[in-house]
Amino acid sequence: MVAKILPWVELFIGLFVVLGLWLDISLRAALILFMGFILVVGQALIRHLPLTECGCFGGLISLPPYVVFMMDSCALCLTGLLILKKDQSHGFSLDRYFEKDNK
Amino acid sequence: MRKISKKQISFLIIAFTIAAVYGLKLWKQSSQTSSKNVMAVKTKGDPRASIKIVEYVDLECPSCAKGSKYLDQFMKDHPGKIYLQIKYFPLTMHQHGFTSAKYAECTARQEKFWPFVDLVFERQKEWSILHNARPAFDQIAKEINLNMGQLERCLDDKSVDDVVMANAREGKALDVKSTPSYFVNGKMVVGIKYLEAELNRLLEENKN
Repeated sequence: MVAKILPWVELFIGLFVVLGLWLDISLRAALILFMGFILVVGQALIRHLPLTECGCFGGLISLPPYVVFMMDSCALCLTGLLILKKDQSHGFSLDRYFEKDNK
Repeated sequence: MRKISKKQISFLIIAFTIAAVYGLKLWKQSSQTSSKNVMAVKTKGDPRASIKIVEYVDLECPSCAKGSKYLDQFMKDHPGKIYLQIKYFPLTMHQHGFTSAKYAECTARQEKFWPFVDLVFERQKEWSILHNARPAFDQIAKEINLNMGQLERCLDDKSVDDVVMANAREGKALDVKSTPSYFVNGKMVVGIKYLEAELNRLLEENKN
């Protein structure tokens, strides 16, 4: 069930972040997702589980867990930065377009 | 005109994304099915036949033309006994080996593989001496009513080269060195003489 729903959740959150739609919610949701990924991959690394890849990207891309961990950490930092620098990050967003429209 | 709201655009984006994902999925499935169909087009006979032959062929090789004639006759004489599958093995010594294989693969994509291959073998002596055999292949393609525009596009398609090369690589991995090489129920048989012997042996075995 989770395996079926999660990719859709990831896709929509990603899409909304890129388009800048509902940014306050989508960025926080992305932050929670990345934290979750870091926890899951991190515990596998700490426990030295014999994983050659995490299967995070299906059959398309094969990356070792430590690379995924680093990628997720970078993405988490970037998302945190976007939340903190709200004024700059919302510049070209659809949110801003609709805000202007409402004024 | 009423402006679209934020909620409406969100709904549209979600709906469009779902449609795009499922569309891609369907397109991927249909392209996989069509490549399976192309493979099926390059076969002859009953898939449930007891004798299964995979033939590595070079359309410019004279022995392959003779082998094709022999197998045609054998299949007519023993209906339902043989299932034949063709794979390309263009030899570097034949100047038109690769081009003829590409044409054959493109005719398979229009489900005219066998009429093309039969005519190519029949006229092998005429086109094999030409410096450029493409007009001869085009002529055959016209005679069997291929869509010439589709054929042209197909010949420019890199995936066609990939299929031919993949077949040849597979043959090399199986130790194929010359053509025609047959794998009769998995056993490698090179040349018509040995094929004939093997087929007769199998027929006898089946009788007993």
